[in-house]
Amino acid sequence: MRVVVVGAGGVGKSSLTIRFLTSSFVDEEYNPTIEDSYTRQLVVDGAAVQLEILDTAGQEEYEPMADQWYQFGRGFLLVYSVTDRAWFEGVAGLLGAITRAKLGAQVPVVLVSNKCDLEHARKVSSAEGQAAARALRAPFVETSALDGVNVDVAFHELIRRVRRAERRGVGRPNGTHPLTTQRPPPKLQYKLKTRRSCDDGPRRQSCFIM
Amino acid sequence: MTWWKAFSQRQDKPANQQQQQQQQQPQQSFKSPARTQAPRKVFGAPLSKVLDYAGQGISVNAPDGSTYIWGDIPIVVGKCGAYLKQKTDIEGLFRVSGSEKRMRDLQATFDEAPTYGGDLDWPHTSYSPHDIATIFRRYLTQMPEPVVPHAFYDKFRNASIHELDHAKKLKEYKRIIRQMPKPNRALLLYVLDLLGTTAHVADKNLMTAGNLAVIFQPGILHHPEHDLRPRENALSKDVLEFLIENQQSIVQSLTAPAEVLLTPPQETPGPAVVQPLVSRPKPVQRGDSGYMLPSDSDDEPPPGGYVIIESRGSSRRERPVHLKPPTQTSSSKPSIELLDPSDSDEEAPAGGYVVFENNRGGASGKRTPLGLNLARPRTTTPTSGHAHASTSSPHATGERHGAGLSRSRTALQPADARTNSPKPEGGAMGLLRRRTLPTKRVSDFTARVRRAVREA
Repeated sequence: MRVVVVGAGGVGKSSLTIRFLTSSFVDEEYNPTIEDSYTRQLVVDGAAVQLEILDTAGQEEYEPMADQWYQFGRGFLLVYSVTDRAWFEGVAGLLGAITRAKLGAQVPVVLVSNKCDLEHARKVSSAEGQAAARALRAPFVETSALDGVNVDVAFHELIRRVRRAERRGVGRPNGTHPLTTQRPPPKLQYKLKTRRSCDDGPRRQSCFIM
Repeated sequence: MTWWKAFSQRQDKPANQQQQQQQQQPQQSFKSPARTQAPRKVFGAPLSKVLDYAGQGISVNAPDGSTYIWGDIPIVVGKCGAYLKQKTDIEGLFRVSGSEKRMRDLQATFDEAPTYGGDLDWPHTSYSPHDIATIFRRYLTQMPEPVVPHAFYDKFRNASIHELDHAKKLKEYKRIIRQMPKPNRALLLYVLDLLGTTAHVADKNLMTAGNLAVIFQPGILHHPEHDLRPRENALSKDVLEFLIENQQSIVQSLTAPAEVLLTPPQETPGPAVVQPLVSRPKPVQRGDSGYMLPSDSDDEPPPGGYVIIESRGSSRRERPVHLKPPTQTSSSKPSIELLDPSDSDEEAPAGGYVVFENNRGGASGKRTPLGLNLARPRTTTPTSGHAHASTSSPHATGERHGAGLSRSRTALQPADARTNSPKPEGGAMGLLRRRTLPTKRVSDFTARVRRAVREA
């Protein structure tokens, strides 16, 4: 299962990822990520899952790579930090970009509000985060990579979401969910895209139920 | 503004740019029917073109008090850069993004004729440093060609350079940068100067040269063919990191036309200078309209520190610029006192570089409060500003120097900045591997971190 962690620069994407993977917080590092990928096998709701996590760059300089990330991912952690409104405001646009890359398909996302340990520097309230999550039709999780609060919850919730979306893809003509199929050679890409958009209908409806 | 207009029209442009301009003019002319020159955008426009209508000069104050303009940079770069140099201690500067709403606003200001943001007065705006830093980055990223032109991309990344020892490598890069087209060279040096300043206080802002290189690599050293190839980007990043770490020496050498003035010119032209320099560097008195070219003599640094000044280009209004150095006093020490001669190529100058703005030949002819009308108007443009600039008192320069030293970076050495270990390549190659290899299973539920083991 491929999930991608996205969000503006410096919101704590890598910290979240590393906290989830190693249960530790890396304080010494302050390196902007370009693109890191990790794998981990874990059990969620009694079922094993092979999780591939792609940690991405938040800077707009790396936008050319973003399409690739969005295509790669089946589910997305949309991360912002409670310490800056600018990042929070950018979240909706980010989801828009992902949805565009997925040709309008409703993608499983979890809205993550990171750095909730920094209560004194908080600029975005929980209520605002929840409202945004409702608007995006995504679950909302407040996390702290520093304290390890809710980090697993966020990832597990995303895994559940992706699973649900994949289950809905089981009944498809070719037996696979379009977004989990291997990337075709470039020539065929257009064809696949067309097919993908045709398949959007039922899934989009079902997501309202979620 | 007449001199400015004359200047804009005088510029020689490549044929294709002129075509673009002609195409743009009809559709934009309704905005300002009175002007013959239609307003043009700054973001996304070719650098050489932007310099025509939204450029500002960068001057160098030599220890003897004379001022040289050694290059032009876009106003947006000069404006943001000058502000950001005062804010280098902010954590995550250049890394975190600003508010999209405010940045749109700011970008529009810089795109807007006739001042192109030249009259922005930062303290009276609501922009956060992160907004400004992001706009600065965005301008570089959106340039049609990166700061290092594509023709020089391979030269910068040439593997053979990386096998050289430090001194030779540095010398080689200086040689390459010297060959770059003038606008790109000035911009590169200016950006390196800013990034070097930022990296120097990495203990406060956490932005080491390596971090900055990651962020600025797409805007500075980048090729569209390598857009999606992390391995190539990692190499470019390493190159940029080296340049940032050694910017002091590089900028010093390449912006120092005065070394010819202060030391007997050495007739040893740099090897293989592709771009023939138009004229020998010569001293320019304040207000002189001569254009200073970087020295092509050798790699020796100038005997004294230089102060980089920006002079505002096409700004219509004059305003006191906020960049008054914090400890500026009325003492007008002779600048030479403040500048320790540096005798080695690698050694950092004691004076450091100070960039500040200077209103270049404003129409009103008023002096700025700082008395900074040192720079002459743009090259060979006889203007009111020219005449006005010539009247600057010599003390102004001394003052500037005194102020400059007070907040200069002393002894900037790459080693003392927290040099960040370059990000292991394995991590950056994650996506690459994904394409070529099946993901390996990891047993025991342990995370397999593909990037190299983090030293905690």
